[in-house]
Amino acid sequence: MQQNTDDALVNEIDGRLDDLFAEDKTPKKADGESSDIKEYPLKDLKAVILSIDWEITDDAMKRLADQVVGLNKLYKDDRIVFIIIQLIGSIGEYIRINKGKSHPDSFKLLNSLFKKLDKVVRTKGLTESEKKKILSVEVNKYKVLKDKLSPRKPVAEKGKQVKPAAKAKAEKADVLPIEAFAEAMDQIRQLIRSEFKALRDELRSGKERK
Amino acid sequence: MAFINPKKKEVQVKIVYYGPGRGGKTTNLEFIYKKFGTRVKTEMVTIKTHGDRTLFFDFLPFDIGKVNGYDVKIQLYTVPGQVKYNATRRLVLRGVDGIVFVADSMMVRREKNILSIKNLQEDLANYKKSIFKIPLVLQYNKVDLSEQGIPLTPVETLQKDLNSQLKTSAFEASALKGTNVVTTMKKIILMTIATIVKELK
Repeated sequence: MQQNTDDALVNEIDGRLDDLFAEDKTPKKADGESSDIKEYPLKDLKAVILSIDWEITDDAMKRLADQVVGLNKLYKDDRIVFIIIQLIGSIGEYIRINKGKSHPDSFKLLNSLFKKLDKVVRTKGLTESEKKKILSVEVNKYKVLKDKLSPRKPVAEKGKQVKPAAKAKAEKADVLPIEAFAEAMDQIRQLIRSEFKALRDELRSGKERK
Repeated sequence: MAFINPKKKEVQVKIVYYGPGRGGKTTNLEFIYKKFGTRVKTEMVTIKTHGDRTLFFDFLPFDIGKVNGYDVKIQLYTVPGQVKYNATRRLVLRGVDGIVFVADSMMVRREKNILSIKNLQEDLANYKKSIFKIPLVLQYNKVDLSEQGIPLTPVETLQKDLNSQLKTSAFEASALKGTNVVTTMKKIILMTIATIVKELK
């Protein structure tokens, strides 16, 4: 008899939960997203970024660097993808050096860069201008992070008692690899210049026609 | 034991989502909140770090209405999964009535799952509770990643690693897509309430 009462109670709660949480449907894939995942070139990069997010090991960092090298070759003709991969490589290098002491935003940026890379690579019909917008947002985030990391440098320089070797080590650990950043910035500059040039030419030819 | 207020005729049931960091505990609660938040009239409280990691806990309370004259309030919590927040994890487990162990199906997290379930056993022992007696549901999360070619631990292996002794209900799920999120939650609520009723006798 008591068992029946318990069952009735559980059944009543079950029904209540059914009413409250009915319709457990899974959302559909975003429009335009390619479902061809068999040849997904970012598979290994994604796996390594997810694993870095959990634990920074030398092995994972090496795998990330290898992935960056491989993808750079694969996308050498796609400037925007190429630059995003370089930024991932740069952040990866910073995390490799600083490991657990890396700025928390660096992991956030690494994930964000991957998400955008994934979007640019997988979304069919994305225009160049849309891609550039995506890149520009990520480059800004990169700059913000770089600015956050830069003020630490003078603090280390102020301490006159810091031994040169230790000082150099501290600086190396605190700043992003400048060369990689400068290279990426140069490429972006060139890209913007060429865009402006094309725009000017277009305007000129328009005027001449009038 | 659930918090029972005879004066107010109210029962509070505390369910904790436990598991390794980045396993999807918060995503489970977020899915429930985003999809049913307005229907169950609730607010989700969450405290995160810079890197979007759960620092303290997430909290999602909701009412399921009157049952046998008592107002039943469900409180869903998550614990921070990262190893360094062991003290916080233990604190959140205080007064827990039921647990959802969210395992990460990714192959690279296999050891972390095993370590985390061992931690759960220790944390519960700290409150003189047994992992074998407390209502517990296993959720093997992130099964959707197989679509992207990411290597996953086979369900049989996960069962062997985590459920060979517990022999409890286990669901393959994708918290991100919502697959089996509600099923898991319903199962743990029903198991917990059945246990509370049993204990009250």
